[in-house]
Amino acid sequence: MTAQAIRRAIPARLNVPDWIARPALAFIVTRLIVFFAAYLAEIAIPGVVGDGLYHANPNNVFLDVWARWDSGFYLSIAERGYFFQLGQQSSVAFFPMYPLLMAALTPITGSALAAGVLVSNLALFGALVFLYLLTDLEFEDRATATRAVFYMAAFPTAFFFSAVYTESTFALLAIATMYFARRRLWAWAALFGVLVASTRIVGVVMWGVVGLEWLKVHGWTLSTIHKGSSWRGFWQGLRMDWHSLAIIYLIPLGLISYMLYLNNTFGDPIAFSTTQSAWGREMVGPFVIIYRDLVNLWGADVWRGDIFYHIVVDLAAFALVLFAGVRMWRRLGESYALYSLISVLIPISSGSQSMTRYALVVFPLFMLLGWWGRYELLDRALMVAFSVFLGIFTAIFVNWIFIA
Amino acid sequence: MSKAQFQQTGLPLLLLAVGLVALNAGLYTLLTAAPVPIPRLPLPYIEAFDGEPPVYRSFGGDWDVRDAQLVQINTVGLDLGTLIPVDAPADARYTLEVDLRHMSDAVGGGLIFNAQQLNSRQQSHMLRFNRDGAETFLIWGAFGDDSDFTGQGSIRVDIAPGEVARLGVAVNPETYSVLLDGEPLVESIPLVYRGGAAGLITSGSQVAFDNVAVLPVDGPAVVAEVAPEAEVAEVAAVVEVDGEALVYSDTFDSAGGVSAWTPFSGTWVFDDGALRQTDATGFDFGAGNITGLPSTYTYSVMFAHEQGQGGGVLFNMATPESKNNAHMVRYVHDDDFLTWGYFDAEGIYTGQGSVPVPNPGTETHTLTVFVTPDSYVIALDGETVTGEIPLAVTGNHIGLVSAQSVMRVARVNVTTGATVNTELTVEAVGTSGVWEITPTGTIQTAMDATDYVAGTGFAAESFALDVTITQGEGAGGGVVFHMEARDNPAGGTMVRFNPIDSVIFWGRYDAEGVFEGAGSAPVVLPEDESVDLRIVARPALFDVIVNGEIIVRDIPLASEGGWLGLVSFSGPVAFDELQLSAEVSE
Repeated sequence: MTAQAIRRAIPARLNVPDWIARPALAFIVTRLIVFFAAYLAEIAIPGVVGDGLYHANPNNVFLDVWARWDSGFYLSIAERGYFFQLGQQSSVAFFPMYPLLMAALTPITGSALAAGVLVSNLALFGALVFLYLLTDLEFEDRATATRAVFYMAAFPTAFFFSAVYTESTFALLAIATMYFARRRLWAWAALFGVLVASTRIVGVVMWGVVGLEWLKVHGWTLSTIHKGSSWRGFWQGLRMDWHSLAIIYLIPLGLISYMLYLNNTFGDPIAFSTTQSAWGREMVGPFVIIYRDLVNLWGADVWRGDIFYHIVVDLAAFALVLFAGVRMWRRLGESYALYSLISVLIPISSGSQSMTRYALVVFPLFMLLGWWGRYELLDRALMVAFSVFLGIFTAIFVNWIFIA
Repeated sequence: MSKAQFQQTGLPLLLLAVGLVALNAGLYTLLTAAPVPIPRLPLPYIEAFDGEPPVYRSFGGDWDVRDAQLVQINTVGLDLGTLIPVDAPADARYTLEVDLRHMSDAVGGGLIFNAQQLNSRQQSHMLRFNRDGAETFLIWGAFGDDSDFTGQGSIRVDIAPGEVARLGVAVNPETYSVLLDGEPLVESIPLVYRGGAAGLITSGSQVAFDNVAVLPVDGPAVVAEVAPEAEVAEVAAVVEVDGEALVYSDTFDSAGGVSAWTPFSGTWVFDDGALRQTDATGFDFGAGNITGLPSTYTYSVMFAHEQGQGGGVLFNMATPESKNNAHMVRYVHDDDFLTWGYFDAEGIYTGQGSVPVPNPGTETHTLTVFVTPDSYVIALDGETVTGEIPLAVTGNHIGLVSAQSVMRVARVNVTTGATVNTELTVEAVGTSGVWEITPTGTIQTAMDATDYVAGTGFAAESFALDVTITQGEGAGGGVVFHMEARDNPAGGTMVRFNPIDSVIFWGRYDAEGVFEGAGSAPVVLPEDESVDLRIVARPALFDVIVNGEIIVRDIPLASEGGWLGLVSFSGPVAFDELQLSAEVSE
């Protein structure tokens, strides 16, 4: 019985529609890999120890491995609330949606850690479902959609989707926003847009993305900006469909709500930005950052292992998104491309660190890979490579070695 | 609305509204830190920051107790504060006063009172200094629920940077008054908030606070409970350094005197137990110290050069914010000399002398200045290099200076007294003769009938040189000054005894070292007795004094400065108690 036959048979027997079954399969298979890899790596490999390398629940390795690095901030927010001290790394840098969900579920799960892992994994499943739906909508091909969800779920840094991080929540809300925008269901897009704008600072970019889709409906695009017909369509759209635009303009309320809270509580509406200096991040632009990274790599001795490996993987992820972004413009449209490029250009303007994690939520990348994966060899190569590196990076992550 | 419209628009908008409400409710409930009970302090409350650091609640800025003061050093941001959890009742009459000093030109220190919150400036009153253009004001008012400030008034005040001001408020149940140095400036300002905590605040400035006092004015005295372990502090033993009382000391560590230094030019950085001047592009970058000093003191600085070689000290500064009206001693930035002089009120520098010294390199050296009401003496690495140099300015602050160099200062000590050995150690280097160092000085023992010259290693322009000369039979001693080289008399002026003819004579060596006499005067020298020779050189003139008696005055002097040496005709001739002073009027 071929794999394809299996894939067809299971949903048929369970009477589960494809748009649930296939993402569920991707979710289950990949989560088994990462959970097993995480557990095994934690107990088998002596990890790094030291000040600040906490263990949120040393009595439960299954949960404990999912709280590393920035997870501490989310746990702190969910358990004790926001903290802001000028000049110090303050938790106000992290947007509220995810820790709010953690705090709301803590009475049910018994701990903020368990709530965080639960929210992350549920959100991942939801993200995969919407990714399947969106990809099927754009490519009208279920095989492409299936590959897209598998690629995203098996991406080398997809362990973040299960960790106490915002990746899966943001992915769910961003993909859902785009899905409804592409379906021209502006109110549903606005609903998820408000939520994604309160999940990460870059979430407010979805406002522009949805706005571009509205403009596209009325004949205005960036590539036809020079045409009179484009502007005539725009004005007509304003006259006839202003209520949709007004609904879209609700999206920034997610960000504004957080800013109002910061202003009322700490007297600084952009405290999330003010506190960034405590992390030593300086906006110098992508060219400077890339140049610095290349200089750092110049003297590397690959044969002796004397190399900044994270610079290599981060720059590779950036290059992948950049290359795919150009292709996206032609295949998927400018809103997808702009979302992808902004998602990586903003972070890389202050450093390439964690680029592999930022690339994780560039969902158009996986849509495009899903389309390219129709070539069987490429599909197999990607799945093998992604799965192997997913295991390796998971092991690195849970042992308190910074990967992204 | 149709079912389709509800599904497509109504329902999501409803969910959006619910989501926004849930988001905001969650922010202000689940994600807002629960208030931590804070023990409130009763009145009276007094804090001098010289014991255990108090537990205040800061809401911005970098607050630290240093040098027995509470210092806020972050200049980025407005209204950075720390709250003192005193509990003034709503109907209280009390005064809140604090000594504050701005550590730079930026002015913005002040206080908070009747604060309703213990974690922010919301709902509190504020009084602080403010700079508007070139003028300084006191502003007062209240922060509202949204932390926005509503001013209630302002008044122009005169306060110099670095000056300590005692800022305060006198609070009544309905009004308050503004106090400066104990005097009311404005009275009966209506209160917005009644009772609450107090605090300190800075805005775009580095400020040092001391002697906080929150004191009830009327009603029964509130006696603060004295902790059982509290005792009357014993008078601290006077710390001595080398037998002198320590006036000021700084090792620039975390407990050091960050608050005492006022940089006025250059880039001064506190760096892991040192104070560094890091700008090597300019001259005479300085930092003054606000500590007031007596008229007699010894100022010692241990420092090293990380780049260049122009480091040194300022002393007798009129103010710690400027090198004008201050003395300076430092390495010459482009030569191996130590130079000294003073800046006048306009900042114009007048040199008073220099001396060749070994290249400082990057090693640590100790530069010491012994200051009396009239003069000062300089020592380098424990060795005196000058005699008494007259003071031109008489301020009472010290400082550090750096020219074209990066210097790292590790320690500063100031002690009372100015005990200094003004006897110079002469390491005579002679091109001829046999020169030996004795316990009391130097002796030349060659006996040929010729002039033997040895350089002392000191150079001066205007000076007073005293030496006790003991001459053997037929030998004659003297001095050579303004030589062109360390131990070559060429270009120098010689003054020497001729005991055979019972005269003292003088003249000049030309560039080839050929002596040409210019004059002589009779002098009776007792046999087998030492004679005190004193030469006073001024611009274009010099005097000869023997055994305290003026032999000749205002002899024309062609040279302007140069090396000092000893001259011995035949021998033995001993030179003892050599003292060098700058332009001392006899």
